Amino acid sequence: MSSELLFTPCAGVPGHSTQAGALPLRVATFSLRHLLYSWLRYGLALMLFLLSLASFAFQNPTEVPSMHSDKAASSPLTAVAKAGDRMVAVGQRGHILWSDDAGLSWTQASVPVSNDLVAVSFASASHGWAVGHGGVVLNSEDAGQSWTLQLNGEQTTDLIRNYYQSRIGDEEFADAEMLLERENVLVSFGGTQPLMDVYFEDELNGYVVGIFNRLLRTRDGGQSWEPWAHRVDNPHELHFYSINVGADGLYITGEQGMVWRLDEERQFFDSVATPYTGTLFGSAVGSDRVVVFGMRGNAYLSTDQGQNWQHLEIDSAAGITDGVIVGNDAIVLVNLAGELLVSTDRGVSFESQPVARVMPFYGLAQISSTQLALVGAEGAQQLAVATPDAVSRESRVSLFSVDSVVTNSVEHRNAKQ
Amino acid sequence: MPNNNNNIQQGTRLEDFDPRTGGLIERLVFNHRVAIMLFCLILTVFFGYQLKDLKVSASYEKTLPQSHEYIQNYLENRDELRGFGDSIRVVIEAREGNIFNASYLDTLARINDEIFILPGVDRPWMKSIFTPVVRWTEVTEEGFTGGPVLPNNYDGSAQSIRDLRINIGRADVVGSLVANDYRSSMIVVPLMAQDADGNPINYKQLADAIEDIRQKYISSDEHDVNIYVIGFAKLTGDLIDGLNQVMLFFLAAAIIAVAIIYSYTRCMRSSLLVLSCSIVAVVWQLGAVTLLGYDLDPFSMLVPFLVVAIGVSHGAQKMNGIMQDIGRGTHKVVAARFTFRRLFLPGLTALLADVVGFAVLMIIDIPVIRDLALTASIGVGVLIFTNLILVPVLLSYIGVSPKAAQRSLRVDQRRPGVIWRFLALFTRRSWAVASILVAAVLLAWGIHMSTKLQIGDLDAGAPELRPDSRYNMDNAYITSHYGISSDVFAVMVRTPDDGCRSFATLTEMDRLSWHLAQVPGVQRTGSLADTVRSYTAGMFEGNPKWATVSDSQGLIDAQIGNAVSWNSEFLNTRCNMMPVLAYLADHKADTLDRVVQAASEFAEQNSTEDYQFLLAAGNAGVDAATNIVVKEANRKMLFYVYAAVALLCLITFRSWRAVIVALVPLILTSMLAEALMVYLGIGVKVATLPVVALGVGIGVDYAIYLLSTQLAFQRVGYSVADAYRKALATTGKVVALVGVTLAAGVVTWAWSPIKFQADMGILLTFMFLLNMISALILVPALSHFLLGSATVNPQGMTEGERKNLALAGGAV
Repeated sequence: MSSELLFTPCAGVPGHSTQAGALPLRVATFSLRHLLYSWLRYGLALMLFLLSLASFAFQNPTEVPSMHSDKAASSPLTAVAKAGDRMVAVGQRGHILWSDDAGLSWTQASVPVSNDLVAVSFASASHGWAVGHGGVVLNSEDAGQSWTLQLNGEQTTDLIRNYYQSRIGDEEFADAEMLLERENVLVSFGGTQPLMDVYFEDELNGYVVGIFNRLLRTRDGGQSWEPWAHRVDNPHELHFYSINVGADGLYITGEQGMVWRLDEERQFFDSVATPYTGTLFGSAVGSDRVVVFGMRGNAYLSTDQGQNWQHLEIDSAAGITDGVIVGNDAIVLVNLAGELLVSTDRGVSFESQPVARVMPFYGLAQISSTQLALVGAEGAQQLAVATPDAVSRESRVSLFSVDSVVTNSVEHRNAKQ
Repeated sequence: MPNNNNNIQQGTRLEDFDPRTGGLIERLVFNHRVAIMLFCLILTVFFGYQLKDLKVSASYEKTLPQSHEYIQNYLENRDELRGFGDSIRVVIEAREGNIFNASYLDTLARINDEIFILPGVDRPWMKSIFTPVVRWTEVTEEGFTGGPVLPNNYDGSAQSIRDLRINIGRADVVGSLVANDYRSSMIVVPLMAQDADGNPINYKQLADAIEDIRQKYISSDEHDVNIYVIGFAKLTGDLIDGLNQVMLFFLAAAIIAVAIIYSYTRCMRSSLLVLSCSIVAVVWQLGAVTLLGYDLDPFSMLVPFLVVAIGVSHGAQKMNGIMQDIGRGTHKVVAARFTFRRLFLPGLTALLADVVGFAVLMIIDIPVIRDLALTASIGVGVLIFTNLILVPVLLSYIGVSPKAAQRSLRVDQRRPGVIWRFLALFTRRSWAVASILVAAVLLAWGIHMSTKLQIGDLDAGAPELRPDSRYNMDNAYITSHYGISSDVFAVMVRTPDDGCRSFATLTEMDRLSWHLAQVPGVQRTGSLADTVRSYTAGMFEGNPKWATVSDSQGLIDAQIGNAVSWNSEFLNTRCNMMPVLAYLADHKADTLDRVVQAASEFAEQNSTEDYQFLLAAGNAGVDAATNIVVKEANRKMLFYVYAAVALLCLITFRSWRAVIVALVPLILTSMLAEALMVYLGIGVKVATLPVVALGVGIGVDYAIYLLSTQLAFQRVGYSVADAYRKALATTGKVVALVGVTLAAGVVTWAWSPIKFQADMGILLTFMFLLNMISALILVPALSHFLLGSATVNPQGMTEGERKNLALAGGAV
């Protein structure tokens, strides 16, 4: 990657001095000018600060750190991920929470922004990324306890425009002019473009996806980002809503029943059509299968990397927001009606499992062989999925190994009371 | 005092009496008795006729402290605030099982239809799972789809009930129209501001109609449901029902009053006369109040009770004087005139002292209290005519029963009763010291307790009604089963027109909402930002990742458009006034203080030219403002009422020592009343403010009666002990009579279904009685130490001369 590709939001003054040559006079003028500028800058900063004290100008959520609140764990949380033994959840108003006791208690992390966050991904026990509205990308290197802002929406726009601007005429980038034009149109709408999901395969390599064909790739842990709008088959600029990985591949889902799968060879996301025409909120990827799901209880399974899709029969019209495939056989889905839908027969039938607290569910993650972390409109809750032994007769679910520690949600609820 | 040139010790016959004697007023009154009576008759007829327009009302607005910044903000923007409009909520609970059965749904449909046709109901916006306005919407692959929650093909079959159940889930009405436990559902009945003819909606009628529907269904065997009703209109209806009940108490109070004076005088005809004159006073007072355009509200309703009590006690004194004179053989006309001569001025002083107590109430900037002050002043002013003038005039015609007259003399000459002898003990040093010590201890305890005094209403639900009232029990049921709170605090966000669309405004509202959510006692918050969040998510297929306030203007505009067309309560049509609501767990002063603190802090730090945060609307906002005003007024009023009473005493007694003697019992009582409030869990509120002023203003009468007589005796040479004993013998009974009559007049209020009236009744009764007792005990005790020097010993005066002088000095 050439140096122009690199975008360093926090970089200081570019190195003019090298261009200034060896002439002492020029160095002196530069130094003087530099001094003047820095004084001007500090003066300006001071003035702005004083001004802000006087007039209480509006501060964008990107500039306002997330507030610490006892209620964060019970207010809307959009996504949850596992970081080693720790669970990390993100939500509205820049809330990020972590739990070391399998989701029973949550501690709020310090976050430099108060934008609504929608997704989180951990590449290792320590390194994680979160994305959300305002186009923010946040990074943590201490297992989610503190976060720094790596990128915001305006920077992303500049980045994309510069990237394609400089490639107009380059034969490898035939679409550069069109992609630049598209970004300019978005700018004319005003505002920033939210990022909707993030996936990091290791501490260096990761992807973020967003609306209007926004796709960026990093190879240095988010220090620099490369626009990938030209590396995806999305001519209608459909919104991307999820990016997910499994042994079966790296999948993006989005509007109009669209699925994209990464071709490792070509480094290109090919589009894969599904029989569905509505929005696909997300996917769950197994070792040789993928389930995509979305609005109105629609879910489809493919065991051939998207060549053929089988509609899954789910007796609920609520939108399915998240899911996981456990051991390649069991499929666990959550929906906006507060249902936990479990299939143990490779998707042939789904059964709604009792949960401790019903609320619209937005995300889930597996804590252990018997436990799930669920997040949603009323925050986080830990759920132990019942196995047949525990619930004497009712449940036929054997999602996880039978000899594991088991509690059922009714007991869980009683214990809480 | 008019100089007395007649020997009143012996009976005077009419022929021997010179009608040209006496003061100007006496001559004016008694030389034109027929004219006076005719004048009073005409006035009574006139004012009685006015009563046809007398209305009972329970105006909420009049209890608001009008000049407080928060209230002004609220009143200024009230018309722009939706969601605070009046509505009634009717909850129908299935006694067995849940709502998903045909018989429950059938009952619900019937009730729904019956309420729908009631006059005053804003029908298009009535909401229940059976009204078409309640819809579910969903984004399908083809676009938006939706329909009424009640399936179009609903027929009560199991399948259509299942569809209904699904629709209820999709419409997100659990917690609003369907209880969290699915055992009941709600009908929200919004009310129009005025009916088709432009008249304001009659809340009472509407509340009654809904009550009828409730009774019909809960008592019918076919319908196995319980019904709960809340809402401001229902509350108003219940209050007016309560007021009507309290009006009946008036009868009880009048009967008790007449029983007391009868037991004192044993003369039925004059007892009834005094009562009639007091009722004439009430007629004049109410007539005058109606003429001035006031309604009878829960506060001013106290005035007739006080007027009768004060009137009866003053009338009883007149009667007593006349009775004694008649007993001595004086002709009734002459007796009436002598009595008038003796008692007109002291009576006038006492009534004026009452007026001072009421007048102090005028400093409180709450209309109901000002109205109370005004109507009470009118009432007492009227008493000057009816009971100081009309009673003696009428008594001069009808006289008293001879038997009672004889008895009154005998009683007077008997050895004083055990109570009076006991009270006289307090002029002795040891008793005086002991009683002052006890008083000091009580005072210290009272002051200690009064530090625990809370501000505001302490009980849950509607504070106007008792916690165990039907309304408050319904309220408790509904708030515990639905996601609504009866205590709402609102911060108003004012912007230029269309300012609600700005990302900055919405973000700041969201921040305020979250800021308030952190305050302990805040259960939930809501603002237009939440609406925008949920509509934005809705626009994107219900994707929770879109539950945000986007910084893209196009996305915001679409949601604001939806909010306007769906009649959102979080904005007005001009898009320049948005409430941020905080639903509170209770309306205790601490909770309100915390919310006010958080909200005003945020408002100060974040208001800009583009948006201003104004406190406060919602019932809790109003409560908060009222608490602030009441707390301040309470101190101010205590100061003024004591200053006024002290001044009055100083003018009367011309001795600062006497002022102390008169005031200490009052202060003790005031403090103990506050301790009682702590004990009974009554907070300082609008209703308790007048109590202190009335208690002190009327309570000082006792000291005035006792001390003026005692000082009169002391000034002619009697020692403190003798003077007090003589004062007791002459006015002590009157003091006791006044105290008991006043207490009897207001004690019936303790049974009022309206909580604050009951509080007022209890506290006033306590103050009237305790003021009397502490005056009877502490006046002699304090006099022993402070007023010993007031005794003068005129040289060469015989015992008889002294006595005459004392009587002439007005000491009776």
